[in-house]
Amino acid sequence: MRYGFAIDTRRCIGCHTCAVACRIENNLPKGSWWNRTLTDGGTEQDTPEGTYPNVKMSYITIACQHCENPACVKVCPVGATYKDEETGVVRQDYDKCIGCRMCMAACPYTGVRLFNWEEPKYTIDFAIGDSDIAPHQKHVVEKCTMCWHRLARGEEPACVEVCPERARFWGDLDDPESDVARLVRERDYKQLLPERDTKPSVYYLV
Amino acid sequence: MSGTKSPHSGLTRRSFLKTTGAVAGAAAIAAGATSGLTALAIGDDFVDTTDEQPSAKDEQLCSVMCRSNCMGSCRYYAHVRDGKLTKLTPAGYPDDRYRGSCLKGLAYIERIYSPTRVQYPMRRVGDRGSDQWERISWDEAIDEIATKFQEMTEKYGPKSVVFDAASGQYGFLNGIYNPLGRLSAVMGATKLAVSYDYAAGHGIDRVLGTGDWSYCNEPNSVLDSSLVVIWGTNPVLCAPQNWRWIQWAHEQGTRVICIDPIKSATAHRSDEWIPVTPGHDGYLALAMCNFLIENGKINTEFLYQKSTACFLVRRDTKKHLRLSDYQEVPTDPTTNKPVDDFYVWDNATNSAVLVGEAQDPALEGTFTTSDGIQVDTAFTLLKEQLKQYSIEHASELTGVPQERIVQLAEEFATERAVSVNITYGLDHYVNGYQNTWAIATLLALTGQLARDGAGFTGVFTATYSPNTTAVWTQTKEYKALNSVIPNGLIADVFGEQKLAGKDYPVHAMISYCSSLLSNQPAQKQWMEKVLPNMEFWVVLDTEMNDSARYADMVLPVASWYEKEDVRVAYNNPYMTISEKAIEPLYESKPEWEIASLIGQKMGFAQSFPEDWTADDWMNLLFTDKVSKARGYTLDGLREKKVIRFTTNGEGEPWIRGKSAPFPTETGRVNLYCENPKPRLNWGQDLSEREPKEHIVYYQPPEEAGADNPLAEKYPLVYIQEHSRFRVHIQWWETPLLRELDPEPLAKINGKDAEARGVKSGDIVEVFNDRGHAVLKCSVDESIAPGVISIPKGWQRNQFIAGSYQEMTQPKIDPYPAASSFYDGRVDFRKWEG
Amino acid sequence: MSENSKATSTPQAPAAKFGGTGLTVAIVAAAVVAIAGLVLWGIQLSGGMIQTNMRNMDSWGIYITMFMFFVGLSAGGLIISSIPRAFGMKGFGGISKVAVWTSITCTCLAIGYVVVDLGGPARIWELFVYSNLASPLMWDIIVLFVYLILSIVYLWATLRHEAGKVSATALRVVSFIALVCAVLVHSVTAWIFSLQQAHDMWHTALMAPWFVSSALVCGTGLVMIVVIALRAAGYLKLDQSYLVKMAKMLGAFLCIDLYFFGCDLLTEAFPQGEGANIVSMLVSGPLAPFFWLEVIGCAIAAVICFVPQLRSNPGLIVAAVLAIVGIFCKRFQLLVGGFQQANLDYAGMYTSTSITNWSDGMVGAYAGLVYTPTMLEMGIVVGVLGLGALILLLGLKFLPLKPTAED
Ligand SMILES: Nc1nc2c(c(=O)[nH]1)N[C@H]1C(S)=C(S)[C@@H](COP(=O)(O)OP(=O)(O)OC[C@H]3O[C@@H](n4cnc5c(=O)[nH]c(N)nc54)[C@H](O)[C@@H]3O)O[C@H]1N2
Ligand SMILES: Nc1nc2c(c(=O)[nH]1)N[C@H]1C(S)=C(S)[C@@H](COP(=O)(O)OP(=O)(O)OC[C@H]3O[C@@H](n4cnc5c(=O)[nH]c(N)nc54)[C@H](O)[C@@H]3O)O[C@H]1N2
Ligand code: SF4
Ligand code: SF4
Ligand code: SF4
Ligand code: SF4
Ligand code: SF4
Ligand SMILES: [Mo]
Repeated sequence: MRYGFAIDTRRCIGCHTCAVACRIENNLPKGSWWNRTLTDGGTEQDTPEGTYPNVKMSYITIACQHCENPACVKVCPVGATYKDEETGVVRQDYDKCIGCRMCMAACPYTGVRLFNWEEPKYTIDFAIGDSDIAPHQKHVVEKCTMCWHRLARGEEPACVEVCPERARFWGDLDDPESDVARLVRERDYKQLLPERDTKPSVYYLV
Repeated sequence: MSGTKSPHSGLTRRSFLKTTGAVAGAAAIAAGATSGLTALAIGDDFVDTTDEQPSAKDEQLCSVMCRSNCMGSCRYYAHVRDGKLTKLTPAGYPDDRYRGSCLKGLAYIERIYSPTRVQYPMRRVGDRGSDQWERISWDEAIDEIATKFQEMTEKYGPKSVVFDAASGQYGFLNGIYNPLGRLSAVMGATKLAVSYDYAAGHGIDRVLGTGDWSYCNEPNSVLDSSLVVIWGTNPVLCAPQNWRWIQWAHEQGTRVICIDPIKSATAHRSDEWIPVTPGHDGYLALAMCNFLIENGKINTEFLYQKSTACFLVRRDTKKHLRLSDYQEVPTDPTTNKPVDDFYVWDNATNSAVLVGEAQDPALEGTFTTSDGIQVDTAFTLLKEQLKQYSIEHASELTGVPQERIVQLAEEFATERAVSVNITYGLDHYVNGYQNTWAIATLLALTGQLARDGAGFTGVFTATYSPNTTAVWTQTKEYKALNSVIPNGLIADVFGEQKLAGKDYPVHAMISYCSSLLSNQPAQKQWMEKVLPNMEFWVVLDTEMNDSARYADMVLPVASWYEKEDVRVAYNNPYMTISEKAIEPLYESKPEWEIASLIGQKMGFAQSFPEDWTADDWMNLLFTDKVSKARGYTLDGLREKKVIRFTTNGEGEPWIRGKSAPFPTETGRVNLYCENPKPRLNWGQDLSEREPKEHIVYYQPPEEAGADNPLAEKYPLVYIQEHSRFRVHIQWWETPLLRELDPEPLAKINGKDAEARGVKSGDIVEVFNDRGHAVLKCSVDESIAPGVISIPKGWQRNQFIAGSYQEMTQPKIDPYPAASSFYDGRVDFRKWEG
Repeated sequence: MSENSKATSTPQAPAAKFGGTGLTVAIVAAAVVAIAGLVLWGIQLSGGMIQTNMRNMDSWGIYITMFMFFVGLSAGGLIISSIPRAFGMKGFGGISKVAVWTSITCTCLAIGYVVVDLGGPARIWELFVYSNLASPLMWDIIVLFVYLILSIVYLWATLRHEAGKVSATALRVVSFIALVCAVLVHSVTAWIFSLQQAHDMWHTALMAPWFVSSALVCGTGLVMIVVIALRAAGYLKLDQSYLVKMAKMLGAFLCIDLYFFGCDLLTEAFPQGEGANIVSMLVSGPLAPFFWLEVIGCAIAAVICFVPQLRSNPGLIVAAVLAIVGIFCKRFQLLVGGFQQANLDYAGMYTSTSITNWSDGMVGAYAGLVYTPTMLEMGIVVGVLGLGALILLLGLKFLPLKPTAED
């Protein structure tokens, strides 16, 4: 079993709904985004590359790629980040993390791993989101958990559920019957930084 | 970025190396994209599964819905833990393809628990706008409001108290239809009419007879279209729940063309983008109509059967030649309207005969009846009128190459089914209704109506509406519903204390679900004309918008999920219920309760019975004939959570003119407008305009036109993107969204920036004679040279100085009485502090 | 140094007398600085590392730079002192104890810098309980501790040897092991970076040998400075010829180091691919000051070392300082350079925790140096240095590190 995502970049309209859903579902502190909607175009959000009228712009959402060969796992001195062998999900143990940030330096997809640089701060003074998530801690590294707490209940990740354009698919890449496996089989796709040999489990359909 | 070498040229993106799936090619893509996705279950006997949703153990789920004036109406589950709302997740419909959500809907939770929320009644203590308040009790507040309203009524008459509700909330109990409308009616006060988005429907109504709103097909209809023309709308930002359907259609092979002055988010995702200069789309459509007629490419079969093309128009009266010209006609007992048939010219008999009796009706021609009346067919009049609109000039005005215009016209004529997706980009011009009137005419001439996949899409609104009039007017104390003044005029009325030249004193206002000071154009007139004459302004809101900041009293209202409500959707065919998920926070109250308190205090005991609960008010909504006939009840809705209000089969698109006849007199589309009427009649002088209003014509925009003399002084047409981060002003201070979109930005083209020595990130002053705004700029090559866009909705205190709303166009055309935000020009310069 | 030193000599005696009040004042000053550093560290831990300029996309900063730097210094010192002994060469016997002590100090500093960089220093025990032996950081921690212990053993053995308690062969064995360990510690530290496929700047096989050469450069430089200083202070006597010898070694190490740099640059630049960006970032980009300071400084240092006329005491000090500064620049440039290249530079939302200069957007953040330390970080850096000074001085004061008569 290898859980992964197929994200249809033709459908994605860059609406940030998945990013916001992730943020709320996981009660992420201020400034923390495990999943980000980024612009593939110009140098600022929602700007294109090129010169009017020959301009181009699309979007890509980036979170932990749950690599089959995760760079982060190898380097963690205490095993606070580890791969769940059954599902392929790369997980984080906040209670173990010593905050050395080896994993952050090791992960090629800079920005998907986030260190809580201070005591987590929230806009709302009680814990929102799902009640099954682990509390956030200061000075530890976090990232997309693939919504482990939801998978445990048999639900799909929050970001997948909310996408208004149905651009996000999640499932078992090893199961040929799954949506993700089928889409990866039938569509052209790209992967992020494949030359880094991390074998990401996120496929961007093009 | 143009010109400048990006300082991070040292950085190269090599994020993607392309690997490839086993099968390439369009077929595979289509298969991959659609199978299992569009073929989702459509359940005939839908039962909401709120109670069975898997969720964390200690949670309770409530069925709620988003109620902002976005072109969607998403349904959510509110997850409640310990009496607190912890998250919102999208909830389904019988046709699951309508399930949707957006970042704002999800982030509403931060508006509920925001520290900036209005928590208790407050009375102004400092100067207007100085944001100094004292906390008062509800008793004091209600007392003061009742006293003030009574004082005003005695001093200036009841109309001097103005009730202002716009589009902030679409719930039937607490939103814009709430019982404060009843208070205005029993007082005989002024109840403002809204002037946002009324041009598009007004223009289309001239052809389809569909009134202000009901001209669009259901969103799913685009799956049957062969071509979708997105014309002056940006569904990717403004209607993501609609765009989904267009995207699905696209994946099945439907072509998508976007006509827009800028390469909008939608244009970026369309097969083709046709850039135009702003304000001239009406001319463009009329030139296409003319071309098609001249070249014999119109759909005459449709014109014969489904339009009034053959109907005769009297030269003397400018009315259709009708049966009543010759005899008394009966009255239809159900509609109370005369049954007055129309004449056409029958070539077979060479005489005027009633439409049903003609063997060979003439489409074209000028005739004289046997009794000497000179008549033309409607089509002939139209054809004559259109002759002045040439492809050449259309090309000059819009900048679209002539060949492309011709080709587009031909596409309208030959495509299997064209859906024109419009919302309100074309609407926001003084000539807005002429733009849409012209497009509706184009659809009529090409027969792209009343068929699967053909017609308008964009704002599918209810084919059914509950009995909101009962809430407002069904009371013995009813006095008058004075609702003819468009809110776009109210600044003038306050300023001059006159309406259409006659005295019309106004001195107090109560605002809810609206922020006129934020959302009305030419904002400075509010400071200069309105506030000095405003003796008492009370604002009901959850947050301190610009109106509230300049008001005399602010009342805390319960947020959407702290009060029960009912809604009939936009852009999906369902009526839904929003349960009260949590108790109102702080001292906030739902609107129906506030209305009752004021009403009772003012002595309208019958209209606001003390023992009435929310249920009594909501039950009123289901007292109309349609609700009764179809068995819609509050209890039924509570149980089912979702009720489809369209009457065709589940999953079957509702098509205007097909699912039910066009609501014109004959069920045919009109090529000639017999009785042009303004949307609202407040006594405006129409004598000059009236004669022109029968046949579609072009009127240049007020300022935006490429040929406008003002272009020299103010070279940039000023539009205001409806941003994905807000709906109008709503969510303007939501911290989560401000992380994504922190501050106002003026989006400008590199050429315009360079000409003014400005680069991305600089602070600029955007200005015209009406005002200015000082803000950061962003060089954005999606914006055309000669255009500037400041995404709308920011409040005054979010700018360095001024506001984006100071420069906007205040003029409204007297027919649609619709605000014309984009019909203005500005310039900008670097801000030197 | 003599293989048959007399058991009768009393090494303790001179040390006790060294320094007097000046040293005591220095010790107190160092302690004050160290304590101030501790306080600042407390502030960092309680207020959060948000007070540093490290952020999610440039997640290491001056602390890890200093860590690298001090690993280098420590190994260098040990190598200098142990090579001669390990290979039975006539070396710098007189200074070997000081050199080892300097090494030990530097090792402590290196560890100190890792500790202040940790988010959860209280969880440090986990390193020994949950050790993930696949992690280069784990290797480094193991090697560093082994190395620290070995250095202490080596020092102890030297002293015992001087006291006649340890045989020369045993000392040679210990020194040989220490040497291997010193090289290892270097390579492993290099591997922390070079085994990461994430950053082009780091991902090079040359890194380990190059780290060793850099260690030799700055280790030699440091020992030279210490020796000259101590000699001037009268702590030890050392023939100038030893210094000249050391200078020649330094020159040689500098050349090797520059040679490695050249190889690396050529390999990066030649294919005209991604690597070319790195080279241009170094040569003319935001890291250029560090690059040129290193290259020119090291070149000048080498010239001083090789040209007899320039090898005056001040000249040698200049050379040593230039060498050390050069290597420091290299460390900084290596660390920051790794982050200076964004792997994913899509435009979008960046918050105050994404990247140091986030307020200027993606372009602004990478326009200049992606990271510069805050005052707090500098304060802690200085505090840890204070701790180092304290250890060094305490050693000088209380340990019998002075050369014995025979040296
Ligand atoms: N410059 C410029 N101005 C424009 C436009 C433009 O394109 N350019 N577009 C115009 C258009 S199309 C429109 S429709 C208008 C919209 O303008 P408005 O109808 O004023 O709509 P909103 O800004 O969405 O909401 C107004 C207020 O309603 C409040 N509100 C929300 N829910 C509730 C509730 O339950 N109870 C109460 N009491 N208040 C509530 C919100 O907090 C907000 O302060 O703006 C227009 N203004
Ligand atoms: N996220 C979000 N969604 C919203 C809203 C919001 O504020 N935020 N507001 C809601 C409301 S009330 C409304 S009215 C709708 C508005 O929805 P839309 O009408 O879709 O939005 P606009 O941004 O007004 O304009 C649409 C497009 O028209 C283009 N345009 C401007 N002038 C011209 C012209 O002369 N010719 C042509 N061909 N195109 C032109 C603009 O460049 C823009 O891309 O959105 C609704 N949905
Ligand atoms: S929710 Fe869907 S469409 Fe929106 S940004 Fe995420 S993937 Fe793209
Ligand atoms: S994306 Fe980064 S953090 Fe996620 S598994 Fe891969 S290497 Fe680890
Ligand atoms: S920061 Fe935490 S998760 Fe990352 S490598 Fe260090 S201990 Fe492991
Ligand atoms: S899977 Fe869950 S944790 Fe990961 S990005 Fe999606 S919502 Fe966030
Ligand atoms: S704002 Fe519109 S799209 Fe977003 S949740 Fe509300 S109704 Fe849906
Ligand atoms: Mo609107």
